[in-house]
Amino acid sequence: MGLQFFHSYMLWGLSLFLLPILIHFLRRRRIQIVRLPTFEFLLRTQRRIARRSQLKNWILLALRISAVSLVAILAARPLLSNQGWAVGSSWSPVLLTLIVDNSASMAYRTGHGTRFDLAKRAAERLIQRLSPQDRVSLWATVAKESGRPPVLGKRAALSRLASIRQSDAAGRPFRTIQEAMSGTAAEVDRRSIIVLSDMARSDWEELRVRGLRRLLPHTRIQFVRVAPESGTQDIAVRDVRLRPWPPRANTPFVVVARIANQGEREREQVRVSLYLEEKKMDEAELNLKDGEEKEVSFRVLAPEGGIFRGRIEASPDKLIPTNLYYFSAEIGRKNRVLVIDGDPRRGLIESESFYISNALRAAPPGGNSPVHVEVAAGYEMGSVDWDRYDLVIACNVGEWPVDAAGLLRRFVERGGGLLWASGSLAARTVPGAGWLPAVPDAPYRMTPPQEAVVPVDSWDHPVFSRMGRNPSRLFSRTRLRRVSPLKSVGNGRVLLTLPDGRAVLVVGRAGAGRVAVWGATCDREWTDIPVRPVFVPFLRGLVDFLGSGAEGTVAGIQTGEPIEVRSKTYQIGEVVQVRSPSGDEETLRLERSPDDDRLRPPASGQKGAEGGAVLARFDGTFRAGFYEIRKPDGLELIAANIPPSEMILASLGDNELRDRLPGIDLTVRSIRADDSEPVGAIEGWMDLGVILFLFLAAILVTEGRVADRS
Amino acid sequence: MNISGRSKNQSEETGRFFDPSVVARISNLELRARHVVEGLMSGVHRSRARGFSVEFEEHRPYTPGDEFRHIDWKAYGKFDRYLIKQYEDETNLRAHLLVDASGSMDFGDGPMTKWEYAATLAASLGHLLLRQSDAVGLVLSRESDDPFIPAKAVRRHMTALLSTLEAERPGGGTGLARSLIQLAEGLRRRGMVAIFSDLLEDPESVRRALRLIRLKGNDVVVFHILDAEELGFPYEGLARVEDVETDRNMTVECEVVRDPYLQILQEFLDTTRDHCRREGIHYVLLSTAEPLDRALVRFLAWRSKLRM
Repeated sequence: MGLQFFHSYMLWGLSLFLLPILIHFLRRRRIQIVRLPTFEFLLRTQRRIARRSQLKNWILLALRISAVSLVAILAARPLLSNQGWAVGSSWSPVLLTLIVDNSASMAYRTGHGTRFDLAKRAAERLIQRLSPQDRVSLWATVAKESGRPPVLGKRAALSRLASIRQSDAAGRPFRTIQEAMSGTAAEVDRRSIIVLSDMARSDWEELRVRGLRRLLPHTRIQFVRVAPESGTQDIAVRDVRLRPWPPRANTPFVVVARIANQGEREREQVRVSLYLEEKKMDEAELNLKDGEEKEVSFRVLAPEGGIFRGRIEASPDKLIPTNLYYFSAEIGRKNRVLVIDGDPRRGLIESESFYISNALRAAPPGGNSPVHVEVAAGYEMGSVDWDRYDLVIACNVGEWPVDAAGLLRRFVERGGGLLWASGSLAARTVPGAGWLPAVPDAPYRMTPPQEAVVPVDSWDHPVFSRMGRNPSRLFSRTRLRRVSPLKSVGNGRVLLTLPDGRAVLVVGRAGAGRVAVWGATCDREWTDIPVRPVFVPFLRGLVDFLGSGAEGTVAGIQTGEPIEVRSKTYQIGEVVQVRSPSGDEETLRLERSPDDDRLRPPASGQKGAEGGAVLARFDGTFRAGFYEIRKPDGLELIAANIPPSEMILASLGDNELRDRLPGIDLTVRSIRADDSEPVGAIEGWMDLGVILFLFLAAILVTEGRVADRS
Repeated sequence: MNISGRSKNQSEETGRFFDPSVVARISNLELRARHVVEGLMSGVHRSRARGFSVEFEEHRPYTPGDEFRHIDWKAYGKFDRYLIKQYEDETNLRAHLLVDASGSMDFGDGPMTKWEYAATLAASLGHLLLRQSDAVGLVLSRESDDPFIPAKAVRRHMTALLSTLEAERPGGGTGLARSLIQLAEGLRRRGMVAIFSDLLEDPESVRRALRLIRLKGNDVVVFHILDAEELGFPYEGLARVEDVETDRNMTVECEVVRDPYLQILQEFLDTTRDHCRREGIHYVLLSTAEPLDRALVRFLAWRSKLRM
């Protein structure tokens, strides 16, 4: 049983107990002087009443000090806790405010189910102990419904507890406590707040003293740490990236997954598998020390088209949700390539555009080429609409029309690709001096035929992704009869050299785009590469690399984040179906967006954002997996994954919790996995205001009577 | 009671004559006394009773104030001392007025202090008695050395009484019991003794002294004069009360001590009244706020009762 004060700062008013004493001395200063002949009678009077009068004065002083002190205590609103009393026989019905953590980290498995299961069982035990008059306010740290949940009786509370599900989203315990506090503010005198959580640091990071101090100076919170464990085990898939992004149909792409050992033990032979459309595509094994993080890459061929769903799955451990990572991608459209032929007067056979077009248009058996090729002459560059292309191949372009070089540079810096190929004309005039990753180092010259060599450190470069493990082998029979050696500048990376090490192919970045500088021609004039088997995979690799833009991080949402489905304004009122990973379906209606901005272009990179001014918002992304959004204009697939914060299992220590909440009356206890620990004491609060007010009234009446009595 | 023969209306009309606040405006004591007595007697039928006697009774020593014509020159020739011849039944009454002049009498919050009230009352009574040709003497009770004016029945004697009263300034301790005993011992003939005092002395001593006077066959009337503040203790809050005759003082909560004080005062008054009644002493309790005629009326009523 403990006493607390709602407005403890009002206790400073207790210093007012000096007031009666002060008044007494002030009165003595205003004493009147009376000369009286009947002094002797007064003396006898005083002798008679002296003892009684003194006693009365002391009583009066005590009563007045008590009255002033009681006023201060009343202002501080005293609350008496009946903690430790038998529940069910308390002096007033209890409002048990239970906050159950159902965030993703609570899925950590213990000996008897997950921590969430344990928390639910503990909550159930608490509710079972209540008397029929007691009430329960049940809160989950991850809940779709906002606002105050209903205050329930014992049976209804048990039913509601059963309906609380494990979530894959990040918890918001602090906000939940705030809401629970304000939601039960009216019953402050009888509520008992118990938080059942694993106290995962990530969730409680937002717990700050200032915010909580404003709310809880008068309330005791019992934190119940659920199944704390040392030596935790958790392999987590942190994220997944796809190269290139988006994957092109029927083209290889790389899935890179970052795997981290979040636990406190070393893990060996961790299996990491890639699934595409629920089909296991590849598998890798790796060893991870505690706290170590590694990347795993899988190279696969992209499907024909549409949206595909993929999943990275690590070996199961105690926290399964973090072993999975879902991703989806829409197969990108064809690479649009513009070949600018700087010397188109020659015959077709001798033209670079001939070799390039044929190499890129080649389709796999039964399929279509992923590349769309157009050819333009160098003098036509002034009329080119650069935005229609993903990649420009400038072959032996020696003359650049006015502003063409500048337009080309802007095109590249906005994300376009450029393959600059040398030649007798091009070697004299380089348009991109200053922003290309390489420049001709010396005038081209005839050399004894030499093979091209791929430096070993570039074997795994995406350009050579179609050439197996040793691309140099394919280049070993090629001959470069004439070459314009290159000098790498800036961020340029040499991918091909002459045997003497001089660079002939350098790639690099310019703004958001990629650029490759080739020191020979793309026809047979300087080299026989265009007629060698290596040419097609080499050129395809170059085009895929240059035209695919940045390496893509798989877009998606974190569980708990809302999905905002945007659509065109004319679709207002139409229905959007959302199918969650658990199979539940919810129907939303497109409504006018509160931030209606018809002129705003679609937000790039924002999943679900289609621009426009109508919006449907889905808030129930509490499970990791794929959410299918069926809009009037098609299907959208959004992958939801556990927030990285939920992968941190380290919990907030007791002392750290107390340090963060100085002045707050809190208790921290733990319950073990075997349910053997008592959950906590249910506290009831009694507002002593009425009792003390009556006491004060009695004191005042007594004081009045004693003062009047002579 | 219609001792003075006045009707109620007359009493109301003349009431202003006895109001202490009105009387207090008259600075001269003689005028005050005459004011009071004339007011009292204005409706009374005058029936002057003389009753002279010329039968010699004894000699007594001459004292200042005695008329020269009463000196027995033959006795002077024989004894070489001034002696006054006294005659039996020279007057109807020999009255001595004993006025307390102790410091406690110099108190009063109203228009008149207790001393002024007592002096005015004594002067009025003396005037009244002299008008009836009664002999009136005066004793001022001090802590020691009481001035004494022998009783005479001549009207000019009033001047001596008044000048003595006017010249007196109350102060010092009280010596009432001693004064009474001295007076009792000095009185050779029975008469009347009127005492004007607050009786704030050791009650037992005072009672013994009163008893002594009474035992000598005197008619005794006690005008017990107290101020309204003494009777009511109307003070509020915290007060430091000082004794007017000594240096003693004490701090009291007035509301707390009021009731016990009044109780003790009442016990004192009751005891004094009872004692007087037992001894056949006429006791009149007066507040300085009361009209002065009340005392005189009660005195006349008492006298008339004695004559019956």
